Amino acid sequence: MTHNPFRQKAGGRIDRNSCVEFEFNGKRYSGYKGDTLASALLANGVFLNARSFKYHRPRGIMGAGVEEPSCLVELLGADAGGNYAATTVQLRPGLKAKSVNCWPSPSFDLMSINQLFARLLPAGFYYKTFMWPNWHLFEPSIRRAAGLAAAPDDQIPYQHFETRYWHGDVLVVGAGSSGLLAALIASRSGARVMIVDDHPLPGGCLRSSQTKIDERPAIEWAEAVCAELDANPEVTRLQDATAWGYREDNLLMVTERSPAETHVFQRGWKARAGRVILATGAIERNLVFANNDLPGVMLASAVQTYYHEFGVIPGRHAMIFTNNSSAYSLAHDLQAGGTMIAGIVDSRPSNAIGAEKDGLDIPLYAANQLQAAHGGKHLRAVTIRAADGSTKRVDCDLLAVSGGWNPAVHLFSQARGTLAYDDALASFVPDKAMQRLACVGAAAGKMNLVSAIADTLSTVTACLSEDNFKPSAFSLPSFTALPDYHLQPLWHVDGMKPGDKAFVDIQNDVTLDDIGLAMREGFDTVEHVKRYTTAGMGIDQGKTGNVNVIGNIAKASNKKPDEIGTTTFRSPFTPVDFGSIAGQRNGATVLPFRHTPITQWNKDRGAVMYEAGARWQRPGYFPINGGNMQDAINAEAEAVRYGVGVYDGSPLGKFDISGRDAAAFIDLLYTNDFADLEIGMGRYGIMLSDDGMILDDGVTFKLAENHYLMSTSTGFADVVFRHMEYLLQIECESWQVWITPVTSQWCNATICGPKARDVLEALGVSIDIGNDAFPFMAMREAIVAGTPARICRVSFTGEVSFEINVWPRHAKAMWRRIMEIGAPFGILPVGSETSHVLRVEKGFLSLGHEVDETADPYDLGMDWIMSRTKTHAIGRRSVDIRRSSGKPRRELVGLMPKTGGELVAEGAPITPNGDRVASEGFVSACVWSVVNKQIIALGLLTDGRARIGETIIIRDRERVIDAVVTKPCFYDPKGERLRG
Amino acid sequence: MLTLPCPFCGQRDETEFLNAGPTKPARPSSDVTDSEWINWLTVPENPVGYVEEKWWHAKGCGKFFTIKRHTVTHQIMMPEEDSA
Repeated sequence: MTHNPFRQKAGGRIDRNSCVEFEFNGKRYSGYKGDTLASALLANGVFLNARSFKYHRPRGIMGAGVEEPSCLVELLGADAGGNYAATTVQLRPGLKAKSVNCWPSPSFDLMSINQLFARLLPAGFYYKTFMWPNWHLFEPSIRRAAGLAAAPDDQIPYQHFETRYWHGDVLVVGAGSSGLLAALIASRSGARVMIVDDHPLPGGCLRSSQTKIDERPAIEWAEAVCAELDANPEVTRLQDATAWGYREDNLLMVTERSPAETHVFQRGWKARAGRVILATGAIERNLVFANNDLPGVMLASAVQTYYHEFGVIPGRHAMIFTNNSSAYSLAHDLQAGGTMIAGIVDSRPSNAIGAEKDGLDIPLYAANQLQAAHGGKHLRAVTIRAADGSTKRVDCDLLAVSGGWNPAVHLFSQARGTLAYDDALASFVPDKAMQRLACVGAAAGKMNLVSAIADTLSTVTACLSEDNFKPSAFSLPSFTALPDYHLQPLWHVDGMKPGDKAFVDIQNDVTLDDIGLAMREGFDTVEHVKRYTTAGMGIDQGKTGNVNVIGNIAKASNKKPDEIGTTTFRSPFTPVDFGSIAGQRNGATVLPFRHTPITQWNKDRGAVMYEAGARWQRPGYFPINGGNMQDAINAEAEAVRYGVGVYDGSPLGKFDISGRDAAAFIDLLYTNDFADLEIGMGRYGIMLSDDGMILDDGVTFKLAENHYLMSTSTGFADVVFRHMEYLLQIECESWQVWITPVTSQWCNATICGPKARDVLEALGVSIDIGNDAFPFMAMREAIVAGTPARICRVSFTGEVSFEINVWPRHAKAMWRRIMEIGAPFGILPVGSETSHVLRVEKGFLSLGHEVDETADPYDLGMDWIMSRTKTHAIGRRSVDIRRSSGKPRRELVGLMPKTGGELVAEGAPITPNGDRVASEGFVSACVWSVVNKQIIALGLLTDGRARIGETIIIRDRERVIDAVVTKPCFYDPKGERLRG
Repeated sequence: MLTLPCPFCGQRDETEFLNAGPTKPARPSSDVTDSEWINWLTVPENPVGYVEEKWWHAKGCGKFFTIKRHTVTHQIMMPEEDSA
């Protein structure tokens, strides 16, 4: 049985046959299908359901939709997520929610002690007080105290998000009267249309309006329009979906919160339209008086929505405070519904109040202001102030407030449209559009329904004609006329006492006094006031308060609001779940891993897998029984140094480069000479970026005249490809060079070590692989173990190496064969940790370690790679200019750290005398050397080559480590072994 | 998010492209002074208004092409169009 003490006996569009149980702050309640969490709480009489952001003042629900500034909730369980306005949460069976900013509960909130110190917590308090030594020291605890909901801890497995694209002719935002009409006209003219609306059901303000359309309730017209739209396959109609971002070229970001497909939790749409029609309506604003945040104070339009939509009147004894005509329709509704109304306080003089008051039988306080609301945890009474300053106290438990209507210009402004201040509305309206869009209805400042509809027809028809559609003649339905909208701005009430808290921004606890303080302290532009006071920030982005902030700045500085201007409207219009932006792009689907055919073999062998640049999965090392990681690395390294090892070199970047100008192109890319390279031979080269820094290194083989195979480092293959394409397409347009990426077309197993040649012989190879017939840096085509292969003699380990390149389909078989044939020779698979050890022993450079886009070849002691005769290579000029300055450079050196066996962290700084001062270099790599039986390192050190033999000091966090500077090669410096 | 006019593939979403920076003057010959070289290398124009720049249809046909983009409004036009 549903006990809803504030629910009317009848009325509303809820389903009274479907009771819905839910939990709020640990207590169980019930509502009906069709309720929002907010309407259900109000129906249950739960009026105190939040605490304010800064002062922890008691707060209740104030709005009925996205404008809600006050009641934010965290959802628990299956819906887990934070900082939803209770007014936008649809009631679902089993829904669990809690208030975000109070503990243990909103009615007994320990942090409410802040209210006692409110005088000490003015705007800017935190900035001023927690400056020394560092704001970031205090920030976490302050954020906790002035908190919003935390992000949910776990990923909810069935919260499946997806992304969808839509491309079409007309995108209508808002399914109120103007939006529905716009979509109808567009769809009848043959356009492909999307209409999005953030409410679960269409109709907008028609849903709580007494207007009749064609003699029938307005909502029936809306439903008939929707039925026609739904029958048109070219129309996509989304309800409970918010267009929250307006991007370039008419791209709108839309989050659909309740897709028809039950397995989809939310769907993010990227909708791109030839024309956008913004029918986003208007948002009611608050009035500024003392204690205007007390539970029981609500927006008049919200009360009206609760009455019409949900059959809820959240009070027994209502009072209305307005500066405009629109709130009177609520008075008519309440009077018809039999609610006791204590009166209407209208700040306008009686001669300005028109037909809206006709038929009302309640006290009307014209030219009066509502000075203050009173009550502890709920509204009990108000003080009404007459024009002569006399006051009167009147009891009430519901105060409906209307400060007028602000066109919802958020999306228009995000689209960089300019705004103009409208005196009659005392608000900002769209002025000049910067994209292909049009505003209609209340969003365009047309507050009178009948004229707004006529304007919508002409605007949309004009747009369609401009876009080459042929809208058919359209006869408007007949609307019953409503009283004209009329308003006199009231930025704040008079007669407030010192210490009265009158909020301009409810959500951020920004009071009228804070605005004054900011301006006295010199923060007198609207953007400064916003940043100093936080007015207009947060979840609601000041939807009910921003124009009041502007109005009050204007009033205080004796300017007009249009001289003050607005702050920037930013996306998102309402909070968006990250999931709906990310869609399916989650985990490894964002950037898929790359695998070689050997991945599974590696995993079966127990390898610890690493990501080795460009998302390649590679074995880091192969653990051995009874040993730790270092034991495994040592075993692999010793196999290569004293026996034989094999590694999967497939991820290495490879490009096939051919064409008439291929040789010239290779010469342009590399700093060293390739002109004399013989067919069948390879050469190590370094390419620079235009600023003279090392871009990449690798070996390039000459396959034939003007035909090369270039290898690049694993992680930089894409960068090098882009570099080459840029040069060819932009700078060398007339050149004939064709580049084919063949990284994944050639897999290789690199057999390395003193016994490498023996293993290759045992595999069976169709050519002479003796050192004379097949020297170092040569490439040969051969049949290896019955498989066609390209064998390259390059070495990244310092040992004799044969790189057996085969097609991917043969890679796994070749690998297994090598392991099988190599077994008697003691062959071991080698992971990237060991490759690292071996190359550090040799002092071979590695991109990302020694080379970090600040090093040139001279820094690495590679003077020999800078051609004496060829000076046109990319980057050469920049290197020469830089070297000519003679300024000291960081140079590659070897380091022998005296750590007693512990490794030094890569990146550890080298500082003069070990002091905590600017570094003079850093450790780029540090390993245990199996040949030297000690810790060795490479590093970059200022003027390092001149300092060989010196002892320098490395600071590895708290460790202070002496290290002797050496040449950057710890093994076979003449390279006799790798040529053997 | 922009849409960009690929000369081969037509109007496509920005996500398919990589920006390749503003159009540079032709690479100077080797006899320019050091300061001329440095200017060519490091001083791009950064106007409030139209800038001519390169885009790469990296996830499409692979074509580098040139457009003019307004640095404030993101309006895009072809390089031969008059942006005055």
